[in-house]
Amino acid sequence: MEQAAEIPTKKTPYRDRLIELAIAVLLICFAAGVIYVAQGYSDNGMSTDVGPARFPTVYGLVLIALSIALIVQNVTALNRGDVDREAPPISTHRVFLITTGIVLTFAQYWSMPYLGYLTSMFLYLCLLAALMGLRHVLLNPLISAVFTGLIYFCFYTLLNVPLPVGELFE
Amino acid sequence: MEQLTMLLSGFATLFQDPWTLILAVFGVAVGIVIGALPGLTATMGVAIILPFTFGMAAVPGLTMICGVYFGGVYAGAVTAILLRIPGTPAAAATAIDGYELTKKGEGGKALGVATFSSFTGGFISILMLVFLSPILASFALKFSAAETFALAVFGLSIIASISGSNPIKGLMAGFLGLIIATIGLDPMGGFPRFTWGIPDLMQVPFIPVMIGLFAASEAFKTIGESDIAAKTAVALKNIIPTRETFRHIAGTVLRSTFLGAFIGCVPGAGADIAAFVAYNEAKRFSKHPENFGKGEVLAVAACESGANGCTGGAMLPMLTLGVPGDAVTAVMLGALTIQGMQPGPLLFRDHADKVFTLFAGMLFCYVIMLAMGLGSLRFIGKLLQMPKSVLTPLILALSIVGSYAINNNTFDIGIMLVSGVIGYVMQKYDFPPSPVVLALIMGPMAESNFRRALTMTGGSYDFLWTRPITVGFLLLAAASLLLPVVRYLLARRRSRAAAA
Repeated sequence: MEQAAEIPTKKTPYRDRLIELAIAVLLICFAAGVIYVAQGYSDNGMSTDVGPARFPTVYGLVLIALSIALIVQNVTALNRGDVDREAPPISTHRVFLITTGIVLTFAQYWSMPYLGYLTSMFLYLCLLAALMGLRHVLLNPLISAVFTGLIYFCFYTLLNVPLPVGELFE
Repeated sequence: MEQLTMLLSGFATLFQDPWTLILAVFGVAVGIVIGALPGLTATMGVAIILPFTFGMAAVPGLTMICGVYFGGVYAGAVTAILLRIPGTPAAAATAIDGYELTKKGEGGKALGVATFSSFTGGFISILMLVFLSPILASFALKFSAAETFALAVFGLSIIASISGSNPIKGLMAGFLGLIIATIGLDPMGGFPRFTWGIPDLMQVPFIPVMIGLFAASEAFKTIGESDIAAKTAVALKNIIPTRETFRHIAGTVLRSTFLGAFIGCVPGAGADIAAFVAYNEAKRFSKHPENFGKGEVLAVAACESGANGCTGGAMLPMLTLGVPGDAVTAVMLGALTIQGMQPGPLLFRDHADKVFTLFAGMLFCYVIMLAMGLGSLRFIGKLLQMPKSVLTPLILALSIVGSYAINNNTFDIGIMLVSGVIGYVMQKYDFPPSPVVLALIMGPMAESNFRRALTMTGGSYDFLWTRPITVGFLLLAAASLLLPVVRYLLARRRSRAAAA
């Protein structure tokens, strides 16, 4: 288990240290919420059982302890100046691409019950490929149609997975 | 010797029936396709193929099911290595180092090692099934809830060693996974926990979570990368491992095979657990454990031989005592019963000829899997030569449909997407996703068996220190959990002292 002893030689950017602190705080809130909700679970009446709340509570407490350890680790690093303050800024274009891609994927998920698999997946693949740079007038819809059809054939025809037809087309 | 004679007789019967051989080939092919498609597991493949065997004789039908099972467990590694999409839960461990090898341009080597390790692991485990079934099955059957709980804790302790450079982040990811694993019905009283009245949350399927964490997160990351110039031109070279590679991995493959076969014998512990345990043990035994997680071929060999070694092990208690080792063997148990072969000790007395022909069929399936695996790797590898603007949408589309296909439920797509976003954030800030998956598999096993053991002992915690196997597993777990943390702290102190 020597590998765990590996210490990163590259300094963590200042921005990332702050984000890690935010993640730790968020997880503490999440774990506290888990413990709070779990306290409302009634025992199952068996004197020999620990009940449904015990395990989530223990997990929540350990997660809080670990999050505090991460906060201490980051605050110590910040105080020691063990951060990279000259890291390049986040590329806004990259953030835009990733965010739009994620939004498109969620849009496909939400639209599939209404538009059906074939329409929603074809549109999604066209838009995502265009977002990533494949904007050829013929290639883009052609590749999207081929992938949509291939997946449909594999899952619907060969494996009998009933892919949604869509409320609009039912 | 008697088993050897029976096995040879089984081979003679098998080769007199071309129909069984054709079905074995077909089963392996179907298994490879299903295993390679994200979201479709070997269990699902066996369940899908099961109705087709109703009209067949026992041996051909069961051989085909075995082919699907073996092909499915193996092929999960192909997309895990090439695309970081674990086709099956067991391949999640393979994805850690397999994908790193692909990024280094050694995808062909990783696939070749995975194929040979899968073959060796599976083939040896079936031989063990033939020769050692009574001994291994009787030992595994001594495991009660207390031992199974300790085994799960040992499995969870592996989180520390798959945590990468910061054990705190790995443990945080693990405990987040353990909390997620408590969503749904309480294993003892059936009390709904964290479901908020949503029926779909009564039983959270972990495969969409896994697809999200491993596949969608990677695809989201790729969306932000430059496009056409970033063609993933990975040529699959050196698929057949060299003599040196064989020599290098031989010990790990054998150790992981036996480990996998042993874990497979334990009811409830499947190929996924075997793969992670084998990974951890390979790392512990390695002279260069620091290479694990960065593209270590031993890791791929360990995971694949462990996972496939599990296949024979899982069938041991199922065939000899009627206790399925995992979900696939549970489905197979049903198939045997339908065929009039009631699994249990009497199976070997009443249907010995059929059982040994089936064993011969299983060995044949593994040989076919080796040939088919090596033959189809280049074809599957072509996927990586596509531009990212083509490959990424395909990965996301497969992730979406694969998640949907598990339960034919769009809610599972939502779980996958949320996991994908969380996985992307985790990846960006160096939180390893593997502990989450491990916790999702082991968490319910640990909780249910702990509470069962507690009930069996009348509420006393004595079982934690009075049962030797339990104590052994718990001590191993403590060592596995604490050693990386202690080493990390010592190394940090040393590096600070050096800097000062």
